[in-house]
This record gives sequence, C-alpha cells and structure tokens, in this order.
Amino acid sequence: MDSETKNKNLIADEVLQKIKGGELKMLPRSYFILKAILYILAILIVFGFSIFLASFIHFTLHANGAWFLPDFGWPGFAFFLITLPWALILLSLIFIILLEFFAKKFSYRRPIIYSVLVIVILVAASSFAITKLPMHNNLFKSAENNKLPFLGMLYKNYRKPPCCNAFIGNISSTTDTGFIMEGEPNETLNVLISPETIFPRGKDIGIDDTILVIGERQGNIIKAQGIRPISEEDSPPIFLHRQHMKEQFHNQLENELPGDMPLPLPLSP
Amino acid sequence: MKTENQQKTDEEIARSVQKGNADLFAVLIGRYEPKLARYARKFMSGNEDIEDLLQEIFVKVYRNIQGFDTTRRFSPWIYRIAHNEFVNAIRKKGKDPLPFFDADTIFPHPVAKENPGTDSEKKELAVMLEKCLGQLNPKYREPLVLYYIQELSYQEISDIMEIPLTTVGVRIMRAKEMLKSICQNVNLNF
Repeated sequence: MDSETKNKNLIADEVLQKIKGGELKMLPRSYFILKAILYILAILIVFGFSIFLASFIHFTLHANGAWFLPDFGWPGFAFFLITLPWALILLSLIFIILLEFFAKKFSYRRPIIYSVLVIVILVAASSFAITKLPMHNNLFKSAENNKLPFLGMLYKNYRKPPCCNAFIGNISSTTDTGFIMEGEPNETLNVLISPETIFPRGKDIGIDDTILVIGERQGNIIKAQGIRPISEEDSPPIFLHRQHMKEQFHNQLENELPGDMPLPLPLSP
Repeated sequence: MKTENQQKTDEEIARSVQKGNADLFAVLIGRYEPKLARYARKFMSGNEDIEDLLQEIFVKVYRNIQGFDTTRRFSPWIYRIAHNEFVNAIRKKGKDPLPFFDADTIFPHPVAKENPGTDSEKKELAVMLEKCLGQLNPKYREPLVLYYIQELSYQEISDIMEIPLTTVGVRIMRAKEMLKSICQNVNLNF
C-alpha cells in the first residue's frame, strides 16, 4: 500500500470515527434555510435604507432650495456643492458598498463595476419612484407637529435654508424696489431688485409665489443677485403648506362673509 | 469491477450522506483526497501540515453538507471549501497574503479564451510548474494550479475563487509570463 492510499484511508477513518463517535455532526438543513433567509432580509433592509436615504437627499435638497442653486450659473453651482448633505451622501455610499458586498455572492462572475452600476441604478430608480409619493412630505409634516420621535430631528435639521447667501420664501407683497418675502423661520425679508439681478427662469413671479433668492443680506434687506421661482410641484413642503393655509383661509372667508365685504389681507399661518 | 457506490455520482452520494448514510462519506473522501492533496501541495508555500488541512476540509464538508444543493455540481462546492481553508492558512502565516480586495476584479478585461496550448507548450509549462511555481505570488499561483494541474475550466475556477471569469483568464496569462520570467532568472531557459 503506497503512502497516498495509506493517508487517504487514515483521513477517511479519522473523519468517520468522529462522525460515529458523535464528535462531528451535520448542521441541520434549517440552519442553512435560516441563514439564507437572514441573508435576504439583510439585503432587503440595506436596500430599504439606501432608497430611503437617496430619496431623503432628493427631498431635502428640494425642501431647502439647494436643488435650484445651479440655475444661477457657476456661483450657484459652487453654492450647491457646498450645500450638499455630504454626511448623508457618504452614508448612502456606505450602504451601496454594503449592498455590493452582499451581491458579490451572486454576481462574482462579472466584474464588480457591473454589479455596482446595477445597484446604483436600482437604488436611484426606486428612490426616484419614492420621491413621487407623498411619503417624505407626510413624514415632514409629522416632524413639524412633533409626532415623529426619531426621524423628526433629521427632517427638521435638513429643512433649513441653504447656506451661502441663498434664501427661500413666499412673496407677500411688492414694493417700489422689489418685494417683501416671508422666509424661514417666519422672518420678513425686504428683497431689492436691481438691473444686475438675474432671473434664470424668467420674471413671471407674483404674490404668494415661492422663490429662491441669492444675494448679500444686510439685516433684513437682501440685495438680490438672482431670483428663481419654484413651481408648486417643486415647492418645499413648509412653503407649500403656508400657501395651502392661506388658500383655505381665503376660501373660508369667502364662504362666510357677505359678498360686498372686502377680504382682509393674507395672514401668515 | 466497480461497486455500486463507486458508480454513483458525487451528487448522488452527497444526497445519501444528507439523508444520514454517513458511511458513504468515505467514498467522497476517497475521490477528493488525492485531488485536494495535489492542490494543497502546489498552492501552499510548503511548510503547512497538508494532512491536517485536508482533514479539516472534510470535517467542514461533512458539517455543511446539508447546505449543498444536490441539483448543482459537487466539485466546485468542495473546491470552494478547500480554497477558503488554504487561503486562511496562508493568511495565518502572514506570508504573501492574498488581497481581500483586488483591482483586477473591478473592471472588465478583454476575454482571454481557454487555451491549454500545444503538446510542446504543455511540456514546457509542466517543467516550469515543477521548478518555479513556489516562487509565484499565491494570487497567480492558484489559478495556474487549478487550470493546469487540476484541469478545471475557467468557469469552475471562477466559482471556486469567486472572481470574474475574465479575471481568471487574465491571471492565468500573467501567471504564465511571470513563471517564465522567474524560471529564466534561475537559468531555466525556454
């Protein structure tokens, strides 16, 4: 008997001895089923977090107006980069790496770049679909009413207006030199328009419109370098909420007051 | 003359073992022990206790056999367990550590087709593998061993090492060039 055959028998004998002695046991099938279920669950949870985070980033950029800054050219684009929620973006990247780590078990036959691209497209498409639902607006309203214990802080923190001399609000009245804007948080700003003020989306703006203004602020006066209207669809929920409150208030008064009585001036909520 | 058990496929035997026929596990050990021993001797750098490693592999195979899907092939599954065991042994020694993350696996490479070469090339390579394989980085040594010594396909090597198919081709091609260069340095001219 050669040494290889002897070794073979030796290993087989030792392993079988361990099996028969009860020292070596098979892991039950249920262990592998549970492991597979946990694996799938982990993928779904990480995927869920990723799309929530990606859609939240989209929501928050609209809510604080930062999304519209690139309309003002290079300075606006620079402001936009500064305003981006980098911590959230980094967290999203970590989730994507985690998803790639999970996906590698099934996708190793193809280069990593392909699976990463598939994950990014899936997350982007799913989060885009979520932005079309009222989920974030509803969560935001709950946060505003202090009915969202943990996520509430997140929504409140990221609804703040962008930095870098950018202001968002509703036009409440016009003046000889510009208009009065109700900004956030509930402050009144006097916006001055000059010939140098740019209107990247045209000048078709009026009372109650939500607008984004960039310009230098001194006290409550802003020398507008650029003004951009924000459509109702893109309007941050806090300002949309104010507009709806005003509309409701007016409708109520129209129904309750006699026809010849003048309507009072719009009030802030 | 082959016995009934010897005529059975690996997957059929694995199914019987899953059902509790532990004695049949010896047939699987008999079939794979020489192959895995050769794989270990060529892939590991030398001083490891191959017998202990092999025993540990078969212990893990038995312990995890309920996780084996008998509709798939048994060979890549057991080789994958062996690969993990060998890589862990190399990592423990801290010599020529295998990278956890490799840039080769990120981007696609031009498809390198399977090509074992002509008879004279095979003979030349056999000499090189015999003399200089130990000096090759494990990252390149392993696919070479699996392809030329274990005679596995690129697809099987991809499944065992869990790397893209094109990366297998690229590593084998680079490994052959490196091997040639190593052999030339030790005055084995081809």
